[in-house]
Amino acid sequence: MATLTETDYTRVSTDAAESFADAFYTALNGSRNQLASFYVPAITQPSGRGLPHISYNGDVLNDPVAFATRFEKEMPWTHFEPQSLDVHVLNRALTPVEGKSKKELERNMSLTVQVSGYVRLYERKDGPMKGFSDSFVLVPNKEEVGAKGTGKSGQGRQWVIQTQNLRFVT
Amino acid sequence: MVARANRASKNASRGPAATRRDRTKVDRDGDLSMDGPVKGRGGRVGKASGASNARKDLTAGKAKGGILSAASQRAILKHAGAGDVAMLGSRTVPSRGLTELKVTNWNKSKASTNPDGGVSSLISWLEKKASNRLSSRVRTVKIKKSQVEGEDLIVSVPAEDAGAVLRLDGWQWAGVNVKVERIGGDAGGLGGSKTEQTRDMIKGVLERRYNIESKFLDLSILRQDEKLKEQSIFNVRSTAGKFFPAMMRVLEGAFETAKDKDEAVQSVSLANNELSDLTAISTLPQTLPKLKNLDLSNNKFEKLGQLALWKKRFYHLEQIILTGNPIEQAEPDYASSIIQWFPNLRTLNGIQVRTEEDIANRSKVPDLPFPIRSPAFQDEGGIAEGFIRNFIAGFDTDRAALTAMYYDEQSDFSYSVNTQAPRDPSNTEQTEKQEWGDYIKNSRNLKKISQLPARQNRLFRGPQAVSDVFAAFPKTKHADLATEAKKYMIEAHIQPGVPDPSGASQSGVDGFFISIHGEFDELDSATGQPKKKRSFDRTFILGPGGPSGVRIVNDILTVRAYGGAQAFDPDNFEGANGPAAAASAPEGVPQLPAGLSIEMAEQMCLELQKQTRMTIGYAKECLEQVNWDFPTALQAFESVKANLPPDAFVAA
Repeated sequence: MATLTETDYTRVSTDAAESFADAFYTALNGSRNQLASFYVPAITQPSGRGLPHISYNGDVLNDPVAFATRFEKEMPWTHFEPQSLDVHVLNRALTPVEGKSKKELERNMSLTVQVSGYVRLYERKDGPMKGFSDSFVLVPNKEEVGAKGTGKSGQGRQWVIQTQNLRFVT
Repeated sequence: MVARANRASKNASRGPAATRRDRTKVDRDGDLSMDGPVKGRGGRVGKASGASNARKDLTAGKAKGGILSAASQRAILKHAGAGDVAMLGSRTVPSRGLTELKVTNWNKSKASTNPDGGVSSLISWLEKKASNRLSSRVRTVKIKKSQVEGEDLIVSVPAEDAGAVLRLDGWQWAGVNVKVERIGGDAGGLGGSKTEQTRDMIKGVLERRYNIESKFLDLSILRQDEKLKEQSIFNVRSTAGKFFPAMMRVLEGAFETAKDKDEAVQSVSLANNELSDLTAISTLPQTLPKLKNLDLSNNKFEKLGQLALWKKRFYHLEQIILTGNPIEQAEPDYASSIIQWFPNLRTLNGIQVRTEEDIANRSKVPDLPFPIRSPAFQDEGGIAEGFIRNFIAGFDTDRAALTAMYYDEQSDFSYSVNTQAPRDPSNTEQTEKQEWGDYIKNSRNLKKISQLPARQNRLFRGPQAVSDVFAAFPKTKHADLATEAKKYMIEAHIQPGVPDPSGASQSGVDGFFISIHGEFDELDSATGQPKKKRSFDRTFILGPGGPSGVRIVNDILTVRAYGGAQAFDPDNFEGANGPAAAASAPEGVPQLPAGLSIEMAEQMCLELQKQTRMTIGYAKECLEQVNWDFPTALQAFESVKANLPPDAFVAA
C-alpha cells in the first residue's frame, strides 16, 4: 500500500500553497472574472451550514458566485501583495486511504494556509494601503479529478477554497 | 499663499527702474539677485513682478505659519555650520586657512551712494548669498577680512567657503553684475572637467534662485537668466531640451538624502517660461515628489492634456497656480480635473478648493463593498471562546502547561515573520528598528524559505517540538482579552472535515477555525519589563480530543511589526453603517455588535441562563436574536418560553 512520508506532506502542501497564493492574488488584482473558480461550489451541509464559508472583513457569504460578482463589480482597484505565507496539512486523509496510489493520496488531504501582506486600494502608489491577514482551508478540486485537464498545470485548479477568513489588520 | 500671479503689481506701471528702486529700499538684505531674472525685459514687467510676489508671499506665509521666525532661523543657520558639502561631487577643497578673493565691478551699484560706497552692504550680501546653498548641511559663510583696493574689494574667507563665494561671480547685486575671482586670477579657480564646470554653473544658477528661508526655488523666466544666456543654453535646441533634466540631476546631487532635499525645496515657480507642455520639465515630479507649492502661471498651457503628464504625481501638492495660461479661456472647466489630479490640493489660483477637514475625511478608507464589520464569531457552547481565553493567558504564563493541554503528537505549529508588514498607520514618528533576530531562525515564511528540508525543519509537530520552540520565543505579555478587547479581532467558524482521533468518522468531524489578530509586548528576559510591541495573526484549527475536550490540529502564527488596532474598529471606517452595509447584512451568522466584548457577551449569557434556566446555547441564541439587548432578551424569553422544548432548559 502506498504511503506518504512527512517530506511528502511538506512538499505537497507547500507547493500547493505557493501556487494557490500566486494564482489567487493575481486573480483578485487582475482577473476577477475567474474568482468564483477558486472556491468549492456552493453546497448546504447536513448541519444546515453552507460551504464555502467566506468571511471578508466580517461579512459572511456562502455563495462564491455572489462573492466573486460583488468583488468584480464593486471592489475598487486593488493590488494585493502577499508578503508571508505558511501552510499546514489539516486532514491527511479526507477519504479512506486503502488501495489508493501515491498520487491519489497526495490529493486526499486538506490544507490550512495563512497569508500576511498588504493591499493597495484605489490606485497604484498613492492609494491607501492596508495590511491584511488571510487564512484558508483548501481542499482538492473534486470536479477536476479525472475530468478535464487533470495533471496539466494551469488547466483547472488543483486546490480550491472551502473556508476563508480575511481581515484588514492595519 | 503663493500668489495671485495674474495681478500685476502697482509698481509695474512705473516701469522697471522704479520697481527696482523700491525694492532696494524694501529688501532688508539688499538682496536683488532674484529680481534680475524675475523681472525680465522687453515689457514683461507685469507678469514678472507677479512671480516675484510669489516668493514674497511664500516667505510671509512661512513667517506666519512656521514654527520658527525668519530671524531665529537665521540664528540657527549661523550656529549650524559644518563642513562644505554644497556639492557632493566636489568635496576635495582644502580645509584650512583663508583664501583671498577679489570682487570687482561693484562700484557703480545703486548702493554706491551709501557712506561706505556700499561695501558693508555688499559684504553682507556676499555672506548671505554664499550661505544660501542647496545642501543637506547648512553652513554660514563668514567673510573674515575685507579691504578696498581701488576698484577692487579683497575679501578673505575660510578656504572651504571659497567655492561658494566664487559661485556668485556674475550675480546681480544692487543693479550691477559683480565679478568674483581668485587672486592670481585662475579664471574663477573652479577648474575641473567640462562636466564639472557645467555642473557648477548649474549649481550656481540654482542657488542664486533658491531661498533657503522660504524653501522656494524660483525657476521662472529661465530664458532671461544672464548666466544661462551667457552659456547659450536656449539658443541650441539640443541643449535646451537637456538643460532642465540636468538641472534636476544637479539638484538631487546636492543633497545627501531624499528627505533633506524634500525638506529644503517645498515650493517651485516655473512661471513665465513660455511652456506649452511638460516635455522639457517632465522630470520635476521625480526630483521633487513631495513638492507642496507649484507656480505654473503665465505660460502657454492651453489644454488639460498638456498637463496630463503630471496627473496623479505630486501627491503632496497643496497649491498650484495656473493663471495667465490660455487654458483659462480654452477649457474653463479645467479646475475640476486639476483638483481631482492632486488629491491633497488645497488651493488653486489662490482659491481654496479643499478644507483640511475634507482631506482628513478622505484619508479614511471610503466605502468598500466589503466594509469593516464587527467580528463574525461562530461558536458552540463557548468552546472556541474558552480555548482562546486559556490559550492567550497560558502563552504568557506557562507555555509548557499550555502545550500539554492542547497539543498532541499530531499537532502542528509553525510561525512566520513578516518583516515588511505595514506598520501602525497612526504612528507617524520615525520607525523604530524591528530586530527580528529572536524569530528569524525558525521563521517558515514560504516566500523566503524555498528549500524543502528547511521547510520541513521549521514545521514543529508534537508537544515536545512545540514546547521547545515556544521556549525559544521571547517572553510575552498579550493585551488583556477582557479589558483591552479593542486591541483584538477574533473570529471563528465551524470547520468541517477535521480529523477525528476516535476514528469513528473517516471523513472527519466538525471543529473550529479560529483567527486571532492582536498584539503583545515582548518582555525583557532579565527585568520582565515590556521591550517591544508586536502584532500577530494566529490561525488555529481545533478538533475534538485532549484533556480539555479540544486539541490543536494546526497552529499557524505570523509575527509582524506593531500595526495598531484601528483596523479592527468598524467605527473607524466610513460606510460601516451606510447603505452598502445595510443591503448586505450577513445571513444566519451571529455577530457581536461593536463595543461588545466577548467577555461582556459571556456575562450576558450566564446572567440570562441564571434568570431563565435556559441552557447557555439557548441563552446565546436568544441574545443574538435581539442584538444583545438584555432586557429585550428577557421579554423575548417570556413570550416564547411556553413553546420552548424541554431540552432548552438546564435539567433541574
